[in-house]
Amino acid sequence: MADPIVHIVDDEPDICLSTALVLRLSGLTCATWSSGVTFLEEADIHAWGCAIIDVRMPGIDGFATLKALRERGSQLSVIMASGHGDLSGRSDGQNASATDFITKPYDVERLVARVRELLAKP
Amino acid sequence: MVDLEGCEREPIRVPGAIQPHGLLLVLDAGSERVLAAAGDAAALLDFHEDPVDRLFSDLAGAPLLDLAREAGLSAGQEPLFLGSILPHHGVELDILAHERAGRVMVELEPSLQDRPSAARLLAKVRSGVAAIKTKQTLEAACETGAEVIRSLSGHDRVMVYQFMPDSAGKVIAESRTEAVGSFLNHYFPASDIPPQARELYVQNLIRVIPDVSYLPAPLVGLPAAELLDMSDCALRSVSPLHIQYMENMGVASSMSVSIIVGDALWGLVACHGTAPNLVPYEMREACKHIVAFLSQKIETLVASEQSAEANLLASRREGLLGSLARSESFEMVLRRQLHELMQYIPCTGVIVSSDGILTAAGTVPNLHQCRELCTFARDHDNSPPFATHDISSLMPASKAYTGLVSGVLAITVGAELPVQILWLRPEYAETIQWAGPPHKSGTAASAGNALLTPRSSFETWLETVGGRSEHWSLAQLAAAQRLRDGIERIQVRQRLSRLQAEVIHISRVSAMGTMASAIAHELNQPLTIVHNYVGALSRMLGQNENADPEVSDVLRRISEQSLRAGAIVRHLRQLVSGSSMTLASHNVRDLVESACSLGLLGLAQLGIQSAIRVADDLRVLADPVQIQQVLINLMKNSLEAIASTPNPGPQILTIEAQRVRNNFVEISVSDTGPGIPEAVQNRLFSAFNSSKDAGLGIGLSICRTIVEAHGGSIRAEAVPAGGANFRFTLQEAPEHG
Repeated sequence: MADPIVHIVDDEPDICLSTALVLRLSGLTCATWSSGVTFLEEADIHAWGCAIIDVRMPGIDGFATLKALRERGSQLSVIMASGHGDLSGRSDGQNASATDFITKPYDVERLVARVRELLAKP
Repeated sequence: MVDLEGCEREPIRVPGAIQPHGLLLVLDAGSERVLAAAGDAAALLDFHEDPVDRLFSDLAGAPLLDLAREAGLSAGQEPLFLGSILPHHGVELDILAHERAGRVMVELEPSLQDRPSAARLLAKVRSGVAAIKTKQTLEAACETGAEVIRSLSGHDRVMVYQFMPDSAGKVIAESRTEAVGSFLNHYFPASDIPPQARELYVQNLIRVIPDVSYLPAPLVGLPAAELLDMSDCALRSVSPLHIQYMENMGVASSMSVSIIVGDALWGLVACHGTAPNLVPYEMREACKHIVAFLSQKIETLVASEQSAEANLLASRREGLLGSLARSESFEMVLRRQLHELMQYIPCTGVIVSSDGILTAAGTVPNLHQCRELCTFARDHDNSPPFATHDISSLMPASKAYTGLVSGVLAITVGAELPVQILWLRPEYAETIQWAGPPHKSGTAASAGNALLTPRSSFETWLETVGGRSEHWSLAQLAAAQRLRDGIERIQVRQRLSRLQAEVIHISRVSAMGTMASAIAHELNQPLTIVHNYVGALSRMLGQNENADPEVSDVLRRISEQSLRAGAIVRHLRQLVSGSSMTLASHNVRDLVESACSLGLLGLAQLGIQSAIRVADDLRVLADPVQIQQVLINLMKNSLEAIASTPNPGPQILTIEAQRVRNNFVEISVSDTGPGIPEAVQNRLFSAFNSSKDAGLGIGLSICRTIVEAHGGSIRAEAVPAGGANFRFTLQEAPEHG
């Protein structure tokens, strides 16, 4: 079985690069996507893995990406990354299908640990 | 006090007697038969029988009807001159006639003795008119009029007497010989010329008493019950009270001519002679003509004086309002304008109340009394302004200071803590400069009629105006009203600017809160990246056994600092969480319009038009203050863009809103400016620009933060025709939320 992939979806290149770097150095396989659209179209969303999706993106935003993901039947664990204080303020219940939330700037060590947890489950 | 009330009831039109210097014959219009007669026919006409029931031609030697036909006599006209006759042993007599109720009233009176030619009399009249014509002020015109009349009539004193608003009278001009005293500036109470006299004087323009000590000659021939209306008879006998008054004044003959302005009795030209003085028909006509011209002149002068006064008031008002408008706190400035206010409307004292502070200048009562007046005026203020010349009759408490303050003119502006200006006038008597009784003593008046003298008249008048001030003229009332309106406009404008300044201040404060939260948010990105790289570096070093421990140490420090920075950002976010969004359903048009009031400041001056195309029924889920900040920022950017490159052609700033898919509303702001350079397009929202102007702008980056915090998105586009278009989306809100 192929290694599970950690998908990093963020429109800011430096976020993708730096997050991928620290995760790879922690022994994880990563793929970076600069938009929700390219992620949905090109990634293997049905393979076992995890996605860290930035909430705020132009075009199709993080939550829309999450929704599309679930609609396509993806079982990927999804961590929503937000710069805002409260994600729970969203009134449309779209956060229900996310697996977890992190707030930027996030503690790298905790992120790595959480990702490892999510990928460990069979 | 003189009780001249009897005077009012006196039947002056129907005295039933004449002054005996002439002869009155009442004829039947058809037959010329004498129905009644008064006067000495024997002496005047050498006719020694009873004139009643005789024909006119019997007495006068000429048929009346012929004369009347020639002269064109008809009913209802004023008396006509029919001709003159010269009886055997007597003086030449003028025949005057007027027809009333089927009767012809014929008066015969002595003609002008030392008869100048008609041409010479006319020449005198013409030069008199010319002299009056050149005068530019009321006083000068009336003084000249008095001189001209005196030169014509031969009386010793000629006065021009003006009626005041309450029918009292004042002598405003005078021409006299050295031998007689002056009545200039004398005041007479209304009762001196009772109402029925004033009425008569409008109809009958000239009255002469050639000899005050005459014995009335009764009218004989009519049934006892019938009272003949002698209103138009030159020989009409006058009121005995009036005669007594003249005698007490030492006057032997008199004449008065009505000054009619605008169909009303404006005043009189009153003449007194120290000796008997007959004023024959032609002379009376000449005097009437002069006075008619004087009346016209008075009308013109009064009108032009009123308009000059209005202009003067207007320019003083401009000055007052100008300095008030320019000040930050006009209430404060108003309190320093007391001198100008006293010049604006003539008065002896002025009180200004503003912000609850009272200031005053001139003659005013004490502080407590001033407050009383202000309160009273405020309670009685309607539009037009509160005005009285008799404050003690309205506010009894003011009796205590009636001498100082009898007249009050007040304006009140505003409801709570109003601005008030009160102009004050003292009791009339304080303002009079009358020198004292003008008549020479000597006429011993009996106890009963000692009261009919000018001195007692004056005292009567003083009593009637006790506790009263000079009236406020119509021009002054209008001036007060206009000043009031002007002050109100300034008040409103200043209040509006204060409100606008407050709104701007609040907007800035909330913008700061938004800015702080946006700064915090912007910092998230670089901090996250730094954290990641620090994490990566420490792993790299951990995997490298040859790593320099110093490098690890440095890295550790960097890590600490970046964690610290992260903590600051989190802390900052908590601090400003009070200014986090309050989402609610808002009408888009309302949001746009309130943003416009600040965002479009200066639009008109820049010659830019605005177009708002927003339906009334669009609602969005939004924090109104923050979305307005976004709109204001976009509008200001557009205004600056247009202003920076003068494009020929119309400059328009357009704001539109419409529904788009997925229950969003898209709001766009577009302009006809130079558009967005390609180089900048990608960086437009991401770079954190502090805005160029220190005013309302909060930067496009913050706009994006706000919009995205609302769940929407923002983008910019170039307009093909030239210009830029910024559009952002917000969630549509249900109808009520």
